[in-house]
Amino acid sequence: MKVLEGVTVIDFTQAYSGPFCTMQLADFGARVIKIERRGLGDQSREWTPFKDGQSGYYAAINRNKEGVSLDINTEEGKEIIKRMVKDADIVVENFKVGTLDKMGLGYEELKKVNPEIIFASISGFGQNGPLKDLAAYDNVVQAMSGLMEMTGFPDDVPTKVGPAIGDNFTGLNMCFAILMAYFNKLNTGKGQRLDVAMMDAIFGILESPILFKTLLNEDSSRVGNSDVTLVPYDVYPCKDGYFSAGLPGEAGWDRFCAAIEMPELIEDPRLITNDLRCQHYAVVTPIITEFFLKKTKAELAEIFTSYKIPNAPVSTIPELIHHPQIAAREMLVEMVDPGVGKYLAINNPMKLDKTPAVMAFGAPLLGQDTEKVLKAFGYTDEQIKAFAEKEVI
Amino acid sequence: MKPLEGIKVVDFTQAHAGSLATMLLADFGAEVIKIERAGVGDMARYWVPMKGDDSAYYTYLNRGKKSIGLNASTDEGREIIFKLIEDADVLCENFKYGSMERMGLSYEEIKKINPNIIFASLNGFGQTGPMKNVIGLDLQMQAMSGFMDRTGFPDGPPTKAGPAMGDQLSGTYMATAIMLALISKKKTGEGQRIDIAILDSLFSILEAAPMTYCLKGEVPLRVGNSYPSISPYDTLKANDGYVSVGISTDRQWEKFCDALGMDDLKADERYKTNESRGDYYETGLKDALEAVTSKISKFEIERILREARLACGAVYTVSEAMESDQIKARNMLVTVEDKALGEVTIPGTAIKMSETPGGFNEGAPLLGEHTQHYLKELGYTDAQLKTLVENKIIEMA
Repeated sequence: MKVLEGVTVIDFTQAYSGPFCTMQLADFGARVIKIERRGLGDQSREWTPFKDGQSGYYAAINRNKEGVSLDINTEEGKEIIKRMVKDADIVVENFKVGTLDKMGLGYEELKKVNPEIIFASISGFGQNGPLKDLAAYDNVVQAMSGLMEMTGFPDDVPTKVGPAIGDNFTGLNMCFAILMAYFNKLNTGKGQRLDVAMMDAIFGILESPILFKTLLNEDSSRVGNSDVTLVPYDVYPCKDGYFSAGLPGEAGWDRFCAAIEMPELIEDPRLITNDLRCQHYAVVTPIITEFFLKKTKAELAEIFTSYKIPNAPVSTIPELIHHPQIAAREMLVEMVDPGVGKYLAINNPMKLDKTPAVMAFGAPLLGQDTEKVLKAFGYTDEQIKAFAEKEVI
Repeated sequence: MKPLEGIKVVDFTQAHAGSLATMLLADFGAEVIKIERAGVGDMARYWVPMKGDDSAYYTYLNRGKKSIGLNASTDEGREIIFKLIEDADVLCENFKYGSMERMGLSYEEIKKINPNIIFASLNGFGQTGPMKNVIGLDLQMQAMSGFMDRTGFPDGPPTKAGPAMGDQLSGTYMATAIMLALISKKKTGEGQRIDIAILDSLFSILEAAPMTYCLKGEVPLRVGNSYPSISPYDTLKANDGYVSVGISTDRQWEKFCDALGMDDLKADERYKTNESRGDYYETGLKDALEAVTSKISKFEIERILREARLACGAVYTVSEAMESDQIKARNMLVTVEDKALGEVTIPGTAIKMSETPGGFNEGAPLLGEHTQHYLKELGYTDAQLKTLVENKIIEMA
């Protein structure tokens, strides 16, 4: 059984944050009806990589959903939405604040049709506050939240986290929120409004710099790949890329020195405790780097594992995709997508043994399921034909 | 009322990832009972920043939870746990693989007491696979998962995210998975096993890179602060820091040039289209833009571009972000009275729910603060408690 079987989601989301959220629901069996702009579709359909004119970006985050192409600016379009919402459990959107309200499809309007609808809104800055109307891109949120200041190397440019975590981490938080709201509805019968902001989601997980400021009034900035409180604990260049190794505490310096074939360092008065090593980061790091540069990732993994020192290669994407652990975890599933054809989908990382996620089908082509969905909501062939002629669908 | 009121969680998690998951559950009303090792407690109690012997890191992750100090490796300790679990909904742990088994607290053992328990595990590599025995520290997980390969500049090293993203992400997945299991249990009466790996979690948020490799056979290098399909989408030098901009259409480009008085760039044929701006970005356009922006302050640039309704944000230091009106309006910094630290301000709850709001109004528990409460509830007498303390089976605050 799929845990969210019977749950219907009307999904207005596009780009990344919203679709990432609704993908989690779809993976676990919810009926996610993706509403796309007639003719244009989700903006991510224009994002690389492409195959046969179809977007792989779009395909990767929209599997397991049904696609309806609709012009919600028309009266008929709005009526169709309301008809669907009447029987739905959840509405999800990530428009600019106020967009659906202006179209007459906001929470208050939709509550008239379905008083217990769960109405979930993802936005850059939230539904309230002085910045609520601001457009948000992932990099803008990473910048304003303080995340960018904390990532990258000291005396160098603040660095954006490569993958758009402003989007996907926020989407995941909204999924958690939706499930809590749905659980609450099962218990009380009541729906509600949900509001998750990218800014809040990212600011909320900065940890240390916030705590250092509030507890000790100390300012923090980025420290590269090391840790201010631990040495050695870093990423070092090696013969065929980069490799990370480190001691998570005071213990182990003797083993580390043996691993890098420098037993004479064990008793070096500058390096004998973690605190001293932190003070002499600039002394010890080049010594370690010199050793690493002579070895490959595989060699270093063997050495450090044999000395029981936590370690990992900095994997490239191809190395990761071919890694036996990823295979053992079934994290790659072959899918056939109507757009891009055969590809390896990234499986859902939430492993539940009785109600697992299912990679059932690929991402819908634009308008692929319009007819099927409208029929399921009681529209006749004639009505559907008329909608098409009037360019509503 | 909170959505998870009435849900009882027996919580073996410590450090970061697992504790984040149970923090989310506690923020929304679950009764989260931390089982901490008597005498030692959660390792996060020793994490900076500290005031005296107490950690703000620990307070941040463990606000609103309860604490029982217990030696779970003893028969008496296990007996207490089994009694606690009888009416629990969820058990959470983020130990090294095999630890719960070694303590006699495997899923199979727990199911004998409570057949419909939701047993949720989180660790570096999960409960299966050739690497299941390997401990996953945040740096190693960011490294191995491809996350670092994707972050940083093409001519620079792979870069770690400042915060422990592997922990944050996997913790959030664990809380989400627990919600799925609670919903499933509500419908079927059955519990189940949950298995979250930090590696899997980070792998799932690499955005387009794995798909690009699938479709193209190769992956482009990491791109620093820019974005391959949109130009300019980057972080530019200001005279007192940096500012991030996202100009995604040609019309926006014109407004951008107007706003910053860059008539020559606006007229330049090379920069008329998004595609050609992308082509010339690293070979002239970026330098031309920074020649202008590096003379203006970051907040001034932000103000100017916002007036033109263009997407942009200064690179705020964390302290500046904390001071922003938006963060205040969203209650993202909350001050509580913590029994160890006194008054302390910690990050708030990002998720806003209109009818069943989450949040917290107290700090984190002292080690063993609730031992007496729970054991008395289970029927232990004062005399029995005294003996258990003397034998170091339990710790009471």
